Amino acid sequence: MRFNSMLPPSLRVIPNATLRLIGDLRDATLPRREIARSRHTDAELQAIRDAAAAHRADGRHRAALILKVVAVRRETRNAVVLDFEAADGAAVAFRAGQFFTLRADIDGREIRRSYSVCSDPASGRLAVCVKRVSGGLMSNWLNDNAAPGMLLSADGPQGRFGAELRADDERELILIAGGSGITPLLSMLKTALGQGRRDVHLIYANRGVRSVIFKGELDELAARHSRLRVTHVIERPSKRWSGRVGRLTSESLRELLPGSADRDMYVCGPEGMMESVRLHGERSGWEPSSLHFEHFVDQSSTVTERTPGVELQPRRVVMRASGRSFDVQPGETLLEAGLRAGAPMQFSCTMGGCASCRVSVKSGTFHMPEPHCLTGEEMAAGDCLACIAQPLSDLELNC
Amino acid sequence: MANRLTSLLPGHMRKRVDPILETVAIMREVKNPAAVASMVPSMLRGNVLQLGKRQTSTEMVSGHAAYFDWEYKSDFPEMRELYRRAKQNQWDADIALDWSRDVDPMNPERPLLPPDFFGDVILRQGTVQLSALEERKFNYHIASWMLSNFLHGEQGALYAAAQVTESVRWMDGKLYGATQVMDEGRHVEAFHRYIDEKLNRLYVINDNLFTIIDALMTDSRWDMKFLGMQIMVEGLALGAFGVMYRITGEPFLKDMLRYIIQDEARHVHYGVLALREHFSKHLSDRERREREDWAFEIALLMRNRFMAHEVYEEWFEGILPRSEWNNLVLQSPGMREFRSVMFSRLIPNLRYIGLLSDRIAPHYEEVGLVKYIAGRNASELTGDQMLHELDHAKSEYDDVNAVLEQMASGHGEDHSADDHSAAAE
Repeated sequence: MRFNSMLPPSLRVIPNATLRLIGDLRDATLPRREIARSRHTDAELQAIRDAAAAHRADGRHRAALILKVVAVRRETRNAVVLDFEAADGAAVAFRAGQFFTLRADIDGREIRRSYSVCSDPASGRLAVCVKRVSGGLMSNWLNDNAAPGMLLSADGPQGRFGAELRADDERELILIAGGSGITPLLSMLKTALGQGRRDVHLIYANRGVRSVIFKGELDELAARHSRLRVTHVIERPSKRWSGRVGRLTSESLRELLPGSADRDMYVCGPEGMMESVRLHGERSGWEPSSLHFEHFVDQSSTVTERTPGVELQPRRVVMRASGRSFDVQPGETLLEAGLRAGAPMQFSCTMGGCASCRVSVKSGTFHMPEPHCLTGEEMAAGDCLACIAQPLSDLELNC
Repeated sequence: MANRLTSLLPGHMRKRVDPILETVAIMREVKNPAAVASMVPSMLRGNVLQLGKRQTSTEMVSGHAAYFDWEYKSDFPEMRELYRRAKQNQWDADIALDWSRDVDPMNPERPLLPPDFFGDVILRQGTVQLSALEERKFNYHIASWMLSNFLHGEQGALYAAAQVTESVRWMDGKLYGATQVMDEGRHVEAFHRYIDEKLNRLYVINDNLFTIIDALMTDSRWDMKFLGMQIMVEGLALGAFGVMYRITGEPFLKDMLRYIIQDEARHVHYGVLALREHFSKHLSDRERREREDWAFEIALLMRNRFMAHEVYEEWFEGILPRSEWNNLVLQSPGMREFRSVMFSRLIPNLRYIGLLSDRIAPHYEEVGLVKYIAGRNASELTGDQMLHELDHAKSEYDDVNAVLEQMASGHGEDHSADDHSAAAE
């Protein structure tokens, strides 16, 4: 090597090549390595599998799954419970409180809607409850067509609701559900009864007795577990109803939830009900960090209904980077129009909940119904959720 | 004759002599020795000394120049567009793929390769007869061998993409090249994780693959690296991944390959864009002819030389003559489809970049490859289109299976290894 460095660079090629050849010939005397090697023992492979399952349950994984419907149970006149398994037979891990986004081709369009899981993760079952929504494409289609053997693509599990739930927490757990908002809470309730020692109080508001989803299952659970208390609140009950009557308001909540505010409260239901809970929490001194809300979005609004204040004329949208443009018809969201025009737009939940469809708006104004998942800063920067936004003027997008 | 002579040698000597004789046979097939002269040192390292099978790490020295452009001109709009598309389509193997899914490589309901990949007649009724369990294990080993070599190929692609990024002359090409380096890194990650965690079986590199990678990495001419890596090796990879994507019954692998194929389609497109410009404007006739001959010789090498000898040594050495194994591999329906898909992509690309002149076309015709010329080249094909074609293609594999069934029942006709009449498209 020292000799080599004394040569001018152009002449170093020959000794370098010679040295390499000598090295190669020397290595040619090495014994051949094993042709194939297996690095892991069975125990190590199991540990790798467990770690991957934990990673998935963490909600970090977002690949499309293929789910097969294995059972369909009509829960009420307007709601079905669908039991799924992964089409490839693999276990589907999730955490209580999470949701999956189901995809289906309906009338030639890919529709995606998110549904919270209502089964207990420990049971090995994956079940969601789908309640009919007036004008809802997916919910009505599933209620009418779902049958064992049907395959659906799905993304998930997603969502952070319920992530703070701890098995070793012994304080009473308060769950407040409105209508089909029961689904994630039922999963959490079963988890809490299955693994901890804490008392669970479910307050469950519905319009009529016949629309109470999971009534039989809840009665059965309450009979089996003395730690569980279920309070039904019915707005318009039949004459035979002996339970609590009315809507859930901050006043009625004060009666239902006396005592310490040092408890965790998980809430899922219509926006009005959640506002009442928020108000009650504030007045009764609950720590904001103890109140957990899962937004329950009216999915019919993404189909045909016109948002008040949106003008009745098509708007032009220009995507700056690609130079592509398309028209948004009155009543359409940015995403619906973009997909119709074949624009490469990302999306997942289509409910303003996941920000997959976030686009940056350079110029123009738009209407975006609340609630949604954008922060104030993101909105101030001009970000927009294409799945729920409707243009109020022509728009220019930075994509 | 050579076979008969080597069969007289003791096993360990035959192991040393066979690869040398095969290298000699390769050299004898070569029509233009000058075109492959630059590959001789690589052949010595790969095929004769078998360094890939001995060393746990290898150094390949390249004399290429890193080309700097201090003016940062945006000089190739199509590459700029490709760069933009590549940035948008990045994916994370941790997130995009569900690694919690269990894979049982011996599960007959979700086989990595169809059970008759190697031909029903050959493995069940020929010299070698495997039990049902042995067949499943053999299937697992062949699939692991293929995927291991995909992985080794991806490692080569990672470093070659980095070299090409340094040496390419267009600034837009360098920016695009950076995304390809990232892509190849991700492919190495994904393939390795799959082999390590799901199959738990990694094979050493195939000698011929070592030779091709070594030749590309050590050639100092940037356009030869480009031609070898972006057109030939990436074309080979597309063919191999495409076949595997179409025939595998293992859903996780199919998912993974779907992502990887989308990246690969961009890579070949990049090579096609760059070389068409370069070969048509910047090379003398003599230089272009040299590349044309070189590409032809490499195409031939790739067509006939991936014989899974590593699996042969594990399973059949001493039981089955190497020549019979070679024949088995050449005639297997799976490998026939692999060649068919590979050339249906490669040949149109060579035509598009100007390496299929009237002078060389008769040579391709002679070896039965010219029928692929009418296919679409990479500049006309996106990853989505390619996947769509793969999903809907009529499979040569199906055709050959039908023929094999006929043969088994005694009504078939003989199909030689060079017969590609049942094309994939």
